[in-house]
Amino acid sequence: MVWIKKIIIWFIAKIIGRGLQATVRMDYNAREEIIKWKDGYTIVIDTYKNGPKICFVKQGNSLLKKKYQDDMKTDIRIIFKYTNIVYEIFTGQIGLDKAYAQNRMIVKGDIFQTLKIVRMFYICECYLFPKFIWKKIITEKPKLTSNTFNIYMATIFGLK
Amino acid sequence: MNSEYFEYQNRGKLLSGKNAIDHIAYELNNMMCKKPLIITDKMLVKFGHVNILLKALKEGDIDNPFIYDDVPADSSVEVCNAIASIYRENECDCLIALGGGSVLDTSKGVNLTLSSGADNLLDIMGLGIIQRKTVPSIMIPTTSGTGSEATLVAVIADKLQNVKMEFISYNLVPDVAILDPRMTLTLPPKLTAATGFDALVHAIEAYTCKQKNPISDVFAIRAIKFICDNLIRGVVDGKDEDARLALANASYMAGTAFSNSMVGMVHAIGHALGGVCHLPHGYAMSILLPYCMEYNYDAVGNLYGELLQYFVGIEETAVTPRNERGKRCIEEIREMLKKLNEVGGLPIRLRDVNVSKDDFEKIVENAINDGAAIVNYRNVSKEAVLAILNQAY
Repeated sequence: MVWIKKIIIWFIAKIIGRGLQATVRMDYNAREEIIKWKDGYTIVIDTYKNGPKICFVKQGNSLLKKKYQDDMKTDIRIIFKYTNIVYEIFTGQIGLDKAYAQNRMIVKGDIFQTLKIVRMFYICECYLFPKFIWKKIITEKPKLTSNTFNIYMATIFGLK
Repeated sequence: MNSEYFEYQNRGKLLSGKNAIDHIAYELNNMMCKKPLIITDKMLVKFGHVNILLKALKEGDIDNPFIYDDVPADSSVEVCNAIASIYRENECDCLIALGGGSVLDTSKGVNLTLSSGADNLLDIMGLGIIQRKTVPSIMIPTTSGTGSEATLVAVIADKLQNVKMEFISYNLVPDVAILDPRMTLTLPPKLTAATGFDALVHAIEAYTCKQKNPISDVFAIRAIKFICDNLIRGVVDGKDEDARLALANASYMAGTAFSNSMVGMVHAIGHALGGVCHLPHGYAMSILLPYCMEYNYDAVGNLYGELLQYFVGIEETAVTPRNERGKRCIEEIREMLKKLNEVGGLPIRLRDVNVSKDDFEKIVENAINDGAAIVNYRNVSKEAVLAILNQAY
């Protein structure tokens, strides 16, 4: 069944990746989190060994998705210890804070900046997941400054 | 117990008790080390603590260890990098840290730099950063508070950004920790109170944060009991060796607890206060704890209630209604602070320690991005931190 999970992860990773980009572009609070990063600031969400990898680069006020390369220089690399935990996070079964608390991931890079990614992720989850899901995984709902419809449109169609 | 996943590690050896330092040469021999680099500070050289260590080493035929005694009160990345260079130049084969939290954390920073082969500690920031074996190390605390001799965390300042940075790895726990009451006998009452209270906050936060687990709970509870029974005693009579040793053991146990369950909001704001205003960590902990407990009460009030018995005894707890125990626990901590303020001069307001309201914005920004914020049961938001700072002012 691992291959089914891998396909689901790949699919949801695509959606969440685009959702994160849309959230940063359209939500003021999410954008504020990355505004002080220098252009080219690179984040990789990784899985130990052969799991999925998502890579973002900050450019202007946006996060751009970039093809992952083994030799690329990253500023923050969040590495989940096994594929199933990525599945649980991407499907809203477990929050990032819980994954952190349970030592299910390691972070290479500045923890101070990593917390900004966590908050950005929460905002994104509040837009993309229905309330009954995000309520289970987010301690307190962050302030949202855009609306779900716009974020969904931008996620699915790449609309600005 | 529920079925939540947790990880636990406590790999170090502990030597605790009267004349514990005298065993150090034997331990070095076990580790096959002959040329230690001692990391300490000038005050400890002056007060004779380093001499006790040197004498113990000499008895084991370790005659000329290299000594670095220039660790400042608030250590930094630059200091760690400089000591790592000295270690390499002198071809040392292990680290002995003798001092308070700053010295012990510096030693961890040096160890990280050496073990990773980096020249700059900033290149290896993060959580779970070192997988390989680290340089053999022994830690001898001279305060009873940070618990750094038992933890996987090093908090080191980045002076450029005015931020206290966290480096986290299970491999940072030293091979041997030595608790010798002679090392803390000269600690002044105010510092004894502040560091002891720091240990209390470690234990309380370890017991009440998201990463808590049944094993760390055991250490946290025992640490709280030891501190409640001995802190005021140790502050009033600094020469009380039993109280000193109990506090040292409590600090170690609280360190073990929070090393495996992390700390929460009190530390997130405390680190920020230290980074921005250079407020001593123990002062920040004592000032902030009651306010943060009140904020967290809705989420973990029942856990605070479970701790009441260590502050007031079983009989008093039994006659306190269950739903009032959490609040009562916070009240008892306030009483303890008041007493420590009277007998040890421990500050209890931010305005007493020259923190300026002008710095609040920067403190808030740093606190919400501190690694400890993520495991606090309630959300550590800008608004919440600002409200707590204003209450504590």
